[in-house]
Amino acid sequence: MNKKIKIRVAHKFRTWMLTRLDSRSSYDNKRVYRAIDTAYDKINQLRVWTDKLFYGVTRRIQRSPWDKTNHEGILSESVYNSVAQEMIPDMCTTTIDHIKLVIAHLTNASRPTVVSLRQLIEEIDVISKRWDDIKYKDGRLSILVKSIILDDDEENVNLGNFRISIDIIEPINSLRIIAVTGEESYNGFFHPHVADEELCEGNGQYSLSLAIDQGRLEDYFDLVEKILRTYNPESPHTPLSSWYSPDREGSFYCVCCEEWKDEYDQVSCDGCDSIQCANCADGAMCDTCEQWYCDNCIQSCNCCHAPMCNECTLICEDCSDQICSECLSTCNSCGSDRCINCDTQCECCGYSICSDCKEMCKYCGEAVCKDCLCETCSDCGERVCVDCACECNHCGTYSCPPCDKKHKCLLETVEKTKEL
Amino acid sequence: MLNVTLVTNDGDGGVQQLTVNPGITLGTFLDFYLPDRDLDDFTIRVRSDGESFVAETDYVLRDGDKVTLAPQKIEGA
Repeated sequence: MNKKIKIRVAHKFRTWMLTRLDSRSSYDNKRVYRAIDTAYDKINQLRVWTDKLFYGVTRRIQRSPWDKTNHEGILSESVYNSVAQEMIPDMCTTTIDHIKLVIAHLTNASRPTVVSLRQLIEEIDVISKRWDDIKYKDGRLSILVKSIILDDDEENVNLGNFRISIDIIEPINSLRIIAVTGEESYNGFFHPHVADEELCEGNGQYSLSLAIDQGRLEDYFDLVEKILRTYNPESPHTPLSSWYSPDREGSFYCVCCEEWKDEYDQVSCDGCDSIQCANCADGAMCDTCEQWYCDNCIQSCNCCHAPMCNECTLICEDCSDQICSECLSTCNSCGSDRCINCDTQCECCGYSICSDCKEMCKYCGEAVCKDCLCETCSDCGERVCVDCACECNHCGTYSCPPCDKKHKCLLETVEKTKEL
Repeated sequence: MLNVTLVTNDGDGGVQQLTVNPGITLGTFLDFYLPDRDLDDFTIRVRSDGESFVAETDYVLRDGDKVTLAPQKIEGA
């Protein structure tokens, strides 16, 4: 790249920096709010997972000794440990990082930077010395990084050369990563962290945006190269094994055992869409909808302990326990839904009744429904169930058992008199 | 006194304009200004007189030098 082009590139970039000064305030505000929102989301996730952990501990203690069938939907000890020792600390770290970002944003926002044309020319000059094949075409400045080699503790994979380019006239979100040489993964990727020529910047996101803001072009390309040369097995678009594992037709990558498995062994959770192999799949089939769910998405019915998914879970209106449809009982009097543990059967008619509609017969002490506690003693006026009500054969009135013994029917006396 | 720019590319993104005594080495300089960083985790580059290079801790800083720290590995998502 000759000096004339370097000056032109520096000039265009500086024009953008000056233009950005006008819109800087609102842009900074958005970045600060975005960082605050992300920290807030992480704290909420932390609360949800903490609740899940506490719930699991209580349930495990209640249902000890350990029995798999009694613990559907409750975090097993190994999952508990992995969440408590790995996932929760990660969440805390991310939250702290975002809070740090807020502080950094606010600190840097107070000192907007516009570098001189001479400094920008020096930046481009350094870039042209440090990287091969620097180009400026159609408003885009690009460099070539050679031999990106990543390893995943099993294999070293040479992904080849990549061209990194940014739009000098409008650099924000303009980064493009183009594979120049190298082999495609079986599912169409050229780099585990690049999709459709876009880099997932991950931990480098803030440093990159700051480098551009401050006109540090060498640092910007350096950071992008470092991201390209780092493999993060936690969240790639496709794992590195997509490049070296043989014959992947009809196979899939199990995220649990990190191996390629036959697609017929594939089990997919209907709740979170995670794909596991049959060996690793630790979950259950929902008894109601008959779909498979992983351990985190399946629960168990509090009455029969049958596995059930969130969609098929019903709540008892009496005790608030989670129950399956099989354990649901509808009150014949008011129509409310109860679990079978809270359900009572009327001793007279045998129908289901809830606790609100349950009546007690004063004489037999049995639980009966309102419909069966229907008779009123003609002598004392007490209500009596149909089983305890004594009907007079002569006058047809009902009496309660104590009154029945004292009942002296006039009609009976008249009939006896007639007989005599 | 020497004017030195210190850039940290590890998330904080700080750019500091500092004044230091002549003859100070890069190692002493970083120990003083970034005592909590483990330097083994970083690539340290110095830009001096328009040349950018990876510097060792015994490098003696010069006026106008720009020292940049970047993590050895940056994880994408």
